[in-house]
Amino acid sequence: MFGDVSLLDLLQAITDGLLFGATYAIIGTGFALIFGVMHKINLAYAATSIAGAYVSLAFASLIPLPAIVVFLIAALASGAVGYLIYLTCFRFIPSASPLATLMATVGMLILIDEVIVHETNGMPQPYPALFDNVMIEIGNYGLRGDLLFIFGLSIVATVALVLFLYRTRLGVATRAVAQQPVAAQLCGISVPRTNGMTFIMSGLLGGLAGAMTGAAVGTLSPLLTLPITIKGLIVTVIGGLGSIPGAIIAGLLVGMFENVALALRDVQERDLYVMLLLFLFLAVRPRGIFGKHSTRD
Amino acid sequence: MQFWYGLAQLVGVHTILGLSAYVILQTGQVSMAQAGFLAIGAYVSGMLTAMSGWHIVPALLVGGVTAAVIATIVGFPALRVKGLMFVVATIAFGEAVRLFWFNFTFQVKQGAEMVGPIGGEGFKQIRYFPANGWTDLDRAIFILAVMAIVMAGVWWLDRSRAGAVLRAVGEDDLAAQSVGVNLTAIKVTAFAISGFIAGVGGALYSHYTTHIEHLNFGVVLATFAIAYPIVGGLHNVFGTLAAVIFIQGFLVEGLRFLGDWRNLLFGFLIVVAMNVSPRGFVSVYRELSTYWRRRVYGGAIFVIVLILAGEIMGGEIVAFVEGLLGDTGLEYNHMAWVAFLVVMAAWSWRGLASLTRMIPAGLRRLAAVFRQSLGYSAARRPRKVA
Repeated sequence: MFGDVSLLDLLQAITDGLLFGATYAIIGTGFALIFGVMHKINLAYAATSIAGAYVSLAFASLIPLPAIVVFLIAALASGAVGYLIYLTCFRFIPSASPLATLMATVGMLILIDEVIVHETNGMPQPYPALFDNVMIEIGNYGLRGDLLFIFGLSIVATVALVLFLYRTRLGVATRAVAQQPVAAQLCGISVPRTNGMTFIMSGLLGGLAGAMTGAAVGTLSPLLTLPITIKGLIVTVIGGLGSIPGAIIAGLLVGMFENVALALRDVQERDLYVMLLLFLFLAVRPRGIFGKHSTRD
Repeated sequence: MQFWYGLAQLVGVHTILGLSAYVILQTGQVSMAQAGFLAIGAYVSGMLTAMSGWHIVPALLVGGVTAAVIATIVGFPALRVKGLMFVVATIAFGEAVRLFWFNFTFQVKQGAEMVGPIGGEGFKQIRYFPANGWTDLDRAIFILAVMAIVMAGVWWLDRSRAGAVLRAVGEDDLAAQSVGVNLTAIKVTAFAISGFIAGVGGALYSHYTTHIEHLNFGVVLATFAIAYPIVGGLHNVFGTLAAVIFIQGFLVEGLRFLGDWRNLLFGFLIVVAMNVSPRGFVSVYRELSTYWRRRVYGGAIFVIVLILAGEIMGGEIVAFVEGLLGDTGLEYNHMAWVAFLVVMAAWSWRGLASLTRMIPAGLRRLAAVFRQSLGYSAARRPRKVA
């Protein structure tokens, strides 16, 4: 059933998967951040990150830029798009209509996708990668330089996020709004402003993830948004809703699992196994790795 | 006339899909699995008619029952979770179904050719309608009749005690549980009913398109399925029908002349619609005065008369109007939609006059909302006393 896959190939698949899983971890963290604060889903989130990557690509095609600057532009642009999504889909829709918010984010997903298709005529665009010719080799076993860079960058981004949440006043406000919006408001915290900041923060993360995906895959295409949305949602659920450490661990797990499935079976069946992994979690541990028991407020 | 028969079939299938999502939405759960159930019904019934030579009606029912059985099996683990978790679980289920058909190949020899689904290439030989000499009109009537039956069934469910239980679970599941409602049984039953309806819709879909492949049943279709009842509102089944006509008839077919820009406008209009009427079209309609309700009815009847006139007069009117339009790329059917809007606005001077009052009032309201969002008080400044 498993064909002729040696132990070394399997080890290689696991490492590659773990390194690529860093992008899923970042996307999952962004979903968890928004869900933790707003208790709503932002289905346009992956589209935000891809949009940021495209904006950075537009800059890179105008003037030659080092790849790290391209990554930063992607993050900033995504932050801006994230705030736009907050304004169009969350700010003015009453919180008693969660379905309307959900639909509006789907509308933004379609809109962003179509803007990209319109601007690029639907052609996939090459994306610059860093260290893509570096290969750390130990015998037959190798580590791809670009994936290592992505992994390192996502660690830096996660540490920055944790520092922001636990070491700054705005981070304290964000956590306060997540815990008890009414009480936070009574303490003089502006809930809309904090929510907007959360969207910008998650947008920054998303832009980074979008650029990382583009760099790892080598091309950017609007077709990337749906798979990334689905994987990000799966990561959020497996990790436990609204849990950032859960999202990180689940992201790495899904990346690894996916790559192993790819090595053992073929590309057509890969995603099928990821879905089965999710169902296994739902059946055995519905609240995810780090999820809390659902309680009533 | 072909165009309208085709549109009627499309609206029929999509309304059934929307109604399947409507049932499960009543229990407060957003299900993205409807495209998966549609795929199951489509493939199963297609295989029954094309490969086993069944009549369409039993094939329709078997397709629906298969989807319902799978919905029940999946429902037990999936409905242990709710909210976002359920959305993700059903997205995963829908994708798993799609990927299953992507990897599924099963063919039998019929005469000189091989018939049956081939993995990624799809299932091409669902020729029940053409093989049995059904005209476009026959198909449209059949699909609309099935749609009417389903709609009547869901309408009855809404009015019955069972519908009240569904809504009670949707409003507050803990409160419903504390008055003795078995949550799991209710949710799984609703899921099974929605699976059955989507399965029947899928059976109609595969026979109407004659060629299905896994790509037809992706997340986009699942999103459409929940979009219809949400845009139409969860007050009653007619909202879903109105939303299907608006989305498929107007946004997708009616705006085809916009080309590439149509897709851009599509997402934008969804965002606008959700901001303007978060509780769906029906709630907007309910807030309309009798005066404006008459305008909506009258406008709709006017458009239908216009279209029928264009079709029945043997194309002379169509040719005349399209001659006037010249080579703007617009067609007679597009003008029918424009006429609907014009008739609604300009039915009488009073209508036009109230429109001129409504636009500034709406703009003022919008400006107030923005001022408020920027932190300024929306309260009016005190008037100067002379």
